[in-house]
Amino acid sequence: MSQPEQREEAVFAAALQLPAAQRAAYLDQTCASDADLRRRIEALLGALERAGGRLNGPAVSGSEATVLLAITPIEKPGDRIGRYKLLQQIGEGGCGVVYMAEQEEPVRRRVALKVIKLGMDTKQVIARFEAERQALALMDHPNIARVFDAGATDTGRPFFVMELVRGIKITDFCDEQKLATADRLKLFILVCQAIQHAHQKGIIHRDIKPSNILVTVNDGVPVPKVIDFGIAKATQGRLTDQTLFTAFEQFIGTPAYMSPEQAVLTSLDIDTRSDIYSLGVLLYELLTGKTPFDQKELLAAGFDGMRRTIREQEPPRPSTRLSSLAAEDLTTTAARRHTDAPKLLHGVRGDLDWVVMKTLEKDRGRRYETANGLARDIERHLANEPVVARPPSRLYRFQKSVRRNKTVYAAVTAVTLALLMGVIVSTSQAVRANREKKKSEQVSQFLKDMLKGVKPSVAKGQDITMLREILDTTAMRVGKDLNDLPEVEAELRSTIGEVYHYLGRWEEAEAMYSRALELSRKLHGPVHPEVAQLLNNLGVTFMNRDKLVEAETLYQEALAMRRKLLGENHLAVAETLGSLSFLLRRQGRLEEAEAAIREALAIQKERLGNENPEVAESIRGLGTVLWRQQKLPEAESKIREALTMQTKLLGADDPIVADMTEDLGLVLIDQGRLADAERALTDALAARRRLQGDTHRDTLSCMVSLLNTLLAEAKYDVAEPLALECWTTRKKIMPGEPKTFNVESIFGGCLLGLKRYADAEPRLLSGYEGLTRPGTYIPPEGRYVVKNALLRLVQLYEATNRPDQAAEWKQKLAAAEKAP
Amino acid sequence: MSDVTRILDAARAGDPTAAEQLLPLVYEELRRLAASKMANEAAGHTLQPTALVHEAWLRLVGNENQQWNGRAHFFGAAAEAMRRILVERGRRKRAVRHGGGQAKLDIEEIEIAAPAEDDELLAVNEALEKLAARDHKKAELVKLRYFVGLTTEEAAGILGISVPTADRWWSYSRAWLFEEMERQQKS
Repeated sequence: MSQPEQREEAVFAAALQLPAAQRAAYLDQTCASDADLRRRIEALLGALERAGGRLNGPAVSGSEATVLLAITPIEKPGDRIGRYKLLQQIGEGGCGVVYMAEQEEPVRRRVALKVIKLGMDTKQVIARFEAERQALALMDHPNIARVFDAGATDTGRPFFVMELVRGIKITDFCDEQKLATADRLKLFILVCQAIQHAHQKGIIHRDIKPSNILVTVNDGVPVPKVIDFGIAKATQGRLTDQTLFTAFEQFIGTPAYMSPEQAVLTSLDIDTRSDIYSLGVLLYELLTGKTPFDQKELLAAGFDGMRRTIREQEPPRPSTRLSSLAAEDLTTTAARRHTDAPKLLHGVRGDLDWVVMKTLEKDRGRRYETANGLARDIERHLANEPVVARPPSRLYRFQKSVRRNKTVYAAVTAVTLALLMGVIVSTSQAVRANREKKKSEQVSQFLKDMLKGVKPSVAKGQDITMLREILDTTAMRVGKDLNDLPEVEAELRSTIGEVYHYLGRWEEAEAMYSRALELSRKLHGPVHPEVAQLLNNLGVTFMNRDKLVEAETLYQEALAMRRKLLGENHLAVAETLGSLSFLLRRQGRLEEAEAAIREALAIQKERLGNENPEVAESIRGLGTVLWRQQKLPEAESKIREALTMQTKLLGADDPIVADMTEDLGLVLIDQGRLADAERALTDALAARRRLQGDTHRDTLSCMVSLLNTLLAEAKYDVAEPLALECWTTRKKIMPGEPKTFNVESIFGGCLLGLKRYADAEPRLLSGYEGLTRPGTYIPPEGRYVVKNALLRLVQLYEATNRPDQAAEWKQKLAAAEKAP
Repeated sequence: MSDVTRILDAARAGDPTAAEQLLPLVYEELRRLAASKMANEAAGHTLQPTALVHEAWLRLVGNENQQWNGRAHFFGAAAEAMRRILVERGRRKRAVRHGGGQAKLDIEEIEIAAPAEDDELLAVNEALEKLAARDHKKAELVKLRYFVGLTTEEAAGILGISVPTADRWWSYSRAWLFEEMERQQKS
């Protein structure tokens, strides 16, 4: 250190010792003859002040240092791992570092050596690799990089030794070479053939992605090489829930390439078709430059969101994806394919769209069965022959539009069967009566089985236009074509009646059941289980058409018949008791309703055990009766019990669960437990939005319940946007209905709470007027809605100092409260 | 073990290459330690970097060798090892964040975005190199405190200076580094 530096340090140290106020005087004196020194000292003092607390502690925390030290590669060129000498690092990925290495014995050759990052059980990884080593050794294909060896480094991390491939990843290669779509496809076909070879040897790759497919150029010909065979299986192995999250970050690395069945992550059920899916993603990326799902968006969605997207969301077709790119991106993408945007789009649209979408099917049974099948279809496309993955039929398209959930899928199957039945019915002749009868019975049974699937799809408000069309046609034909087969006719009418029943088309259901009942009585006599069932079902349609007295008569008849024929403790007895309880509840005969449902529940518990969907439904029914009787805590506990059971049985994503969550919210409101109610209703609303969509009637009415809660809690700022959404939607889909005006008044209430009086007034007035328009019927239990609307108006005029108007509305409110 | 003792002896004897030879040993020992900590200890357990380094020291040279000269070289090598790791990581992450870097580093394959502290770390490192050129000993002190996480007292013991001196050096070095960093930022 030089003399001036030493002096600078000494003066700085002395100045620092002094209180800040005395420093200037000290520097005046000390640096009188050295302006430079003074400037330096002041700069240093200033810097120290500005630094504050920075640079005081260590650069990393203890745990982070441990991690860093542990994961930073310990190997370096020149080191030896087993019989391999590391030459240079050639790559680094999510799960390891790749070196070029030299093997000296038994043969002298250059290899690629991949050291897996820390975080795995080395013994298991190696054991899994050993288990597959023989199969791996059987692979011999020019487009597959061979895997030679695996082992553990001195530091205990697993490593793999592979054929050294000096290439770049396939997507980069194609872009750099500006390969046209056709050339990309030819390269891709080679990849498919390599994968096919591996599949034939029983090896699934499990991690097909661009960085695992390297392209080298031999004599001017590009040769793709698939690397890392056997490694994904050895390193992924079994993922438990606990390791899931780290697993997600550490090993999976590329969710964009993960098949829906891999996203489930049980990993037990992976087969060659998962590779087909990943090949599809690769093809998608080669064609469009994008993956079907954006990697960043997948990661941003969080772990569960990512899995849901991969499992449920239909990706856009490649051509759709291309045309949705910004003009500039599209031009670049086209340029990388040595073409212009219109030609690129034209080339991808059609065949290639279908080929790609077939590989990306969520249901692997619909994908190409083999990698060769996929390759051959692409060859057909290149040869201008029709592809196997041709544009789907109308029915198929219909299926696609609803297949996002399983239950609807079941409904679609019902449609298919109904179609089939149509064919059978129309060809049925007296001569072949017997055979046809059998067939019809089978179809009928099948159709019945499918009803379970129809119900939730109806609840979810899915599009069932086509189902209805087919149903109506079939219903018409039943009468015409089956006159000579009363047994089949009765059976089919009963089944069709049930479908109408679930669709809520009570009039048609009633007609079907009535005719079936007539036929059944003729066939079986007045007392028969079939007759009892029809009596019960007909009772349900009556009840839903508000013919309560007739319904009760039918229920009682069915109940007596069932008890007599089947015994007191039969599930059919419980069914009728449940229906009867519902009816009694509607009539306000609550004690009788409670007794009926308790009896039904006892039978069901005895027969079905304590945990069963029907038991849960009855517990819920009991909860509802108790709720109507204002036995609130007891009602709450029953509803909770049913909710817990159904959540366990059906999963959280089910309309029934959403229904019950909403019920729970409502019963909590009645108990004045607003914070709890808000929580339940918020959950219920989220579930409804997810399952039924933002504009479904149930979603909207759930919004209203939540809005009432939020207003009661004076959370106007939270309520206001929701109220606006609800009102806007209702105005669109149910204009002029009392419910719409109620929401308008609620929206006004939010504005009132936010002190936006001028905005609130027109909403409150219009909402109230709508609710009280002549001809509007509001049932007694809904009258509070009108009172609330009035109360808000009173509050508005009081808040804005308009006593005359306030008094006027107070009078109306008093009148409304007196009304019966 | 005998290797280490020999190298430390050589360092004490004034062999300028001894420190260079020591570094890989420290490197390896630190990592092995960290890996075993990671593998054996419950998640959330924090181990101070200093403790790691101390343990590495004990394992490498044992208890008997307590002469400060050996320790100083060892800790210097440890600080250098930590510095290299951190700076390397910081540079890599910054390269990724700025969209540059090696082609082989896919965004999808690297840890999520680098925190801003990496910039500071790299800036400190740059300024530190300048300080080292001017005043090697103070730079050593900074490395021990900043990269290894030693206290002023510990660092003073290792560097063989008094604690008040170490304090004075530390204040001066911090001020100097910040001023340098600010200047870098402006230019």
